[in-house]
Amino acid sequence: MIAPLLLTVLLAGDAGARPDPQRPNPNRSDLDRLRSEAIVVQAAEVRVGDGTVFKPGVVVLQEGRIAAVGQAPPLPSGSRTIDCSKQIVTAGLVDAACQLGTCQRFGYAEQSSEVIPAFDAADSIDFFSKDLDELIRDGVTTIYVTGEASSVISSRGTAVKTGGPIAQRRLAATPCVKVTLSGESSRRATFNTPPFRGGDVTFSVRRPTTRMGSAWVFREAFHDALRFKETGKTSGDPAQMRALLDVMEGKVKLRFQAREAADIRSAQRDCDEFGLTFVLEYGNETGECLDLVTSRKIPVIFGPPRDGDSQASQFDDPITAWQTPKLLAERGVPFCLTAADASGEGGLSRQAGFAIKNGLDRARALRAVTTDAAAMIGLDKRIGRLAEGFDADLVVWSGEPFDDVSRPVLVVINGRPVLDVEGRFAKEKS
Amino acid sequence: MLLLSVVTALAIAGSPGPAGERFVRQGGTLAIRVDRIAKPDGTFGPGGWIVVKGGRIESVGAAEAPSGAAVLEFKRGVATPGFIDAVTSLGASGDLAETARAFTPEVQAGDAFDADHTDFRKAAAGGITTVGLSPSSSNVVGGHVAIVRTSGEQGLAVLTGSGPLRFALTPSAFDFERPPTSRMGALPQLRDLLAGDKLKAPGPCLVEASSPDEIRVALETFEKAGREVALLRPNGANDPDEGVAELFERSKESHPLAVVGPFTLSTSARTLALPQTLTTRGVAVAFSANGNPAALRLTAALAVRGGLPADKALQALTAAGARVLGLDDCGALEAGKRADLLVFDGDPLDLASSLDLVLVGGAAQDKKAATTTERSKGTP
Repeated sequence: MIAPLLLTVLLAGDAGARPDPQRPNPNRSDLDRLRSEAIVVQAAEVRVGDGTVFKPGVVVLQEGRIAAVGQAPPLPSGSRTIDCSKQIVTAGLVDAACQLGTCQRFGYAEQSSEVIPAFDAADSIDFFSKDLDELIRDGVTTIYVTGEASSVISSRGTAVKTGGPIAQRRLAATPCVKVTLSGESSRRATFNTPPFRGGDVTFSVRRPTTRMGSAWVFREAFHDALRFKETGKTSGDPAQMRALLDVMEGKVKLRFQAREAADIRSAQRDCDEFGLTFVLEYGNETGECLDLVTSRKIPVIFGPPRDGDSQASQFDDPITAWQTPKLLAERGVPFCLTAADASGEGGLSRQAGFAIKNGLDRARALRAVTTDAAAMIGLDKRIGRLAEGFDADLVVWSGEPFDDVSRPVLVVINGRPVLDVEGRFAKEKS
Repeated sequence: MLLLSVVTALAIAGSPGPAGERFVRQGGTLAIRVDRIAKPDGTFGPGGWIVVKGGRIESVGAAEAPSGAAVLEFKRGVATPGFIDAVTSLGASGDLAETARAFTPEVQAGDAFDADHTDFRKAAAGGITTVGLSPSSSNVVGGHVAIVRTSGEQGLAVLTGSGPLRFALTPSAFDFERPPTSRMGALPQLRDLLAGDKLKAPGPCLVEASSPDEIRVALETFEKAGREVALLRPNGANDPDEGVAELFERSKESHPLAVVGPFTLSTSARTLALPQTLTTRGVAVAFSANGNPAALRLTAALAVRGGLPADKALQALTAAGARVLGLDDCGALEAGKRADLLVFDGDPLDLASSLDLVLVGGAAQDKKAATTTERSKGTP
């Protein structure tokens, strides 16, 4: 709902500023012209995302990409300037394990089977979801929608931009299949256990109800896949078997959703059986098995801490969920932050704020929601950084990014504003 | 007003009763004189004689009636093709929702057809000459639409063929008790089916898709498979999100169709605007009365209230409906087409105009059937 309004403002503002009846170009729509026109964002501070800071700084956007970044880069002629001289600019935020933006509000999982790695979350994305507007308001410009937790071996995830023309929203991220071994999820109808209070999830009454049972399904599936590879025969769906073989051959990566330390250890055991490696998703109790994560170099997509991960205990117990980002940074474990379904304590910028309050360096926190998150989904050459050639995805903050009182006032995706609280794109300096 | 003059040895008294009908059935020629004749583009041309023989239209717009023909002359007569209810549950004996499986491409809605259902007589008397009897939206692939002519031998409705395949991408097609439970699980199977040669049917793929994203998936999935699409009740096309405009802009080349309705007097103004919105987005619109024989003309009238130009509304009632059902033998007043023909005494979209003559396959219908309250035999 925000986007069309903005576009109207934008088009109106642009038309008023540069009327050019002498040289009408019938082959190019206003949108095309907007996309090709250079836009100069002048800010008090440009935080690139790799630790570099330009103060003051300038970001030049052209053709949907970043053309230049620096203190005073050369400006193309005929460019428009967006005055953000009192604000800080960062790259658009990236959530590497998002559960929003899908077509079925209470989970999009295929309930009919526990092993569905051939399915693709891309088929569940709702590009018109109101979730995406919420994400934009939080400064998130790219999400990797991860598999649902209601199947033991769930679907592949998919990466999309949260706004802009639909044709430009899909991104080719590293494909990952998600595994969940325990009955835990923050959303209704995604439990890996029998439904309580008579929920909708009727297939789940015959699911494995224990970690032991889920691990058994996981191991059985991979043994089936190996048999399928040998004999070409399977009692299950050949497409799913082929997808499992893709995982074993490393063409598709594996993620484990595990919040409890016992789940994390169990994930490692089960992967060892098949020589697999994995990325840890959520990992609330990573702090309890830091040695394992460090020695096996398990990348962690951390968050969000839940109410049960008592914030109060941070004062007397050094190893708590809330301090995990700091501990992972100290140990050199690759990690990023996620807001999952953004329930409870809110979105991705809040997660970065929590990490900062619990000891993580500000610059590192920014990396954990931009550059490092992009690296986690294999898109670090394209998004997550304010650098030449990267997608023109950026956020202008009302104050210090991730502070409780700060919020995005301007969000740009592919060079187009998708949130413009103060109408900066409409106002223009020559 | 119906004026009858006798130019041949054969006289037809009052409206074309049994004698006239027998005459027509026996291969006699009927000539109908009207003041305005609907053109295939939905506008009206000058009047003249429409000549009907053997259940087909022989000629349109002649200045003279052929000799030997029985004639019907209408003062202020406005002739249109018979109306087409593109998607309906009219006269279905039993339910059209077979929920045993999510993919039932072999199902034929014709097997739910009841030739003797009163609704068909009501529909025929109200000017609906062809309907697409359709499986419901409970399955991803629901089966084949049945082509039904509302009147034929002995006044019974006639099943004349199998029409397009009916699909659904709405939540109604998914059930927690039945695999696949999700769009994610259904789409790979649907793409496989579309890529193969199992899904053969005349006309476009009739796809129920309501929300903007369901419309996106319908357009993307079916266009990618090289199939023509008719969106069923794509209410999300009204969404002001610029992404919706983008979807239709991208699909312009493939000329999608849409079926909307039924509208009633309590339908919101926003929904009434849907046919016009779709038209401006390059989509040809047809109407569905969905089981209520009286609703089709009202739907068209209300679509005009919602902004649809009258010519498009008439096309939606006729030619577009024929396209949706994959038919080329009806939907226009042209030589060679079925003699499905209506004569009004004024603008057909003005509900105050009365319908003075209905021919279904050349046979005149009894107007009284439109108001009969006789209980149907087939369904409760």
